[in-house]
Amino acid sequence: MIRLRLAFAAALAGALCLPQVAAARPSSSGVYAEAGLGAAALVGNAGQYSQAGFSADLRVGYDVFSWLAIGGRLGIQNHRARVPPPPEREYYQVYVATAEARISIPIGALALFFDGGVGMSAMSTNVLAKVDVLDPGERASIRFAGGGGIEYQLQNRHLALGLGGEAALMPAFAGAVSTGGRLYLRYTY
Amino acid sequence: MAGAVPVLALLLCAAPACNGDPIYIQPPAGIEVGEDGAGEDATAQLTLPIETETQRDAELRAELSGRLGEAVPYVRLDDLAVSIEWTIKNVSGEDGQAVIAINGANERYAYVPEAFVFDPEEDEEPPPLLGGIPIAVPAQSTVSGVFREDQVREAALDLELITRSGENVFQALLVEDEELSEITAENGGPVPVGVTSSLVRFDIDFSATEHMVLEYAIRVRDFRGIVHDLLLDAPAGELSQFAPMDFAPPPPVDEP
Repeated sequence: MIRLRLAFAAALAGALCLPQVAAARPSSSGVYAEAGLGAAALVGNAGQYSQAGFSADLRVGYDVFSWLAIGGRLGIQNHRARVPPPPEREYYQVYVATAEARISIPIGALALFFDGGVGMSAMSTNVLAKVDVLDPGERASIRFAGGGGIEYQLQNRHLALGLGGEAALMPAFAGAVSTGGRLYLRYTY
Repeated sequence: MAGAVPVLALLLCAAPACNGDPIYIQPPAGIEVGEDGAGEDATAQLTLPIETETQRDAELRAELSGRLGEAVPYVRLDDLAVSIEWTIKNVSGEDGQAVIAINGANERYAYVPEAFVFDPEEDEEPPPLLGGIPIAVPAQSTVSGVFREDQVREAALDLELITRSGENVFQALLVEDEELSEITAENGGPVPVGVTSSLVRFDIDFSATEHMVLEYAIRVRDFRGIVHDLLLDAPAGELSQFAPMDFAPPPPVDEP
């Protein structure tokens, strides 16, 4: 009778147990390079005078642990200025360079990640000075960025595809916040 | 990995300083005419905020002048690509016409069309360096346009042809010099177009038949890095102070 009760208890415990987390798909770890394409928009005062535009990024870094990577990023955002004319139909670019850290949580072939970084942003022109987003002579700002996304590890252990989002604060550009998303391909050596 | 660091640093430093990136110089105010009635005109003057010449630049310029046997200006035609964007707003309730006429100056001479009129009954006033064409502006509406980089370059070259080459003012202004590679200087020698003078001052004359406002912005691509970062907010002591003379053409010689 006791054995029967123990067997029933064991079966019940097994049935109630949470599904096990799937084992992470095998992937390379170490130095990586990543190329991403997406869109970015400014919000706040700067956003009022800028249209959303495409963005492109290159990242290189190193997986310190399977769950932590550090690296650097160079990027560019392209926006059309919407200041009161003149000038009109003018475009400007935001150049981005940051140092970043990323934490990943693998779930089977997928991984959730959260990243953040600090660096610099620079505007290619002073077109937004007309609306006081830029002060005279000012073209650069420190940039605080944070975001996250999801990554899919391909069968090839070196390659992963991902979808990420980010928000970045640029205090010197009248507190402009850049938001954006990107689709990327990562190659880990 | 280690090799990537200097590359990143180089790209970061170089990116914001791309030579082709435009700078927008916004005048402190637009030009408003016709507030008290039709037929008014007004003029505004804007001098480009050019940094003072460095010792090194002065030495290189002196060397170039020696080689050409001709004075070489500090701000040369190939240093800047300038365009002028404008918007006219007709704030009245009537359709009207407006005229933007742009003259200007390089480091040495200013172009003043009236100076070419010796006999008001005989001589026709030459056209401005840029513009001078009536623009229809409907009531309560806005019209915009641009004097392109090639047009402003042509205007600068026209002023050089008038003042240095002694060319007839009408010929200089009405004939396109796009293909010109050199001009004839005062001493008769050739001077490559690229080292002739750029316009450094713009005299913008605006007239309208109704109450209108002209807003304009000067867009500069600075290939040599001589425009001051603070633009019109720069301290006067850090800017080149140009003092061009109004060009006075020689009076016509009477036929014997």
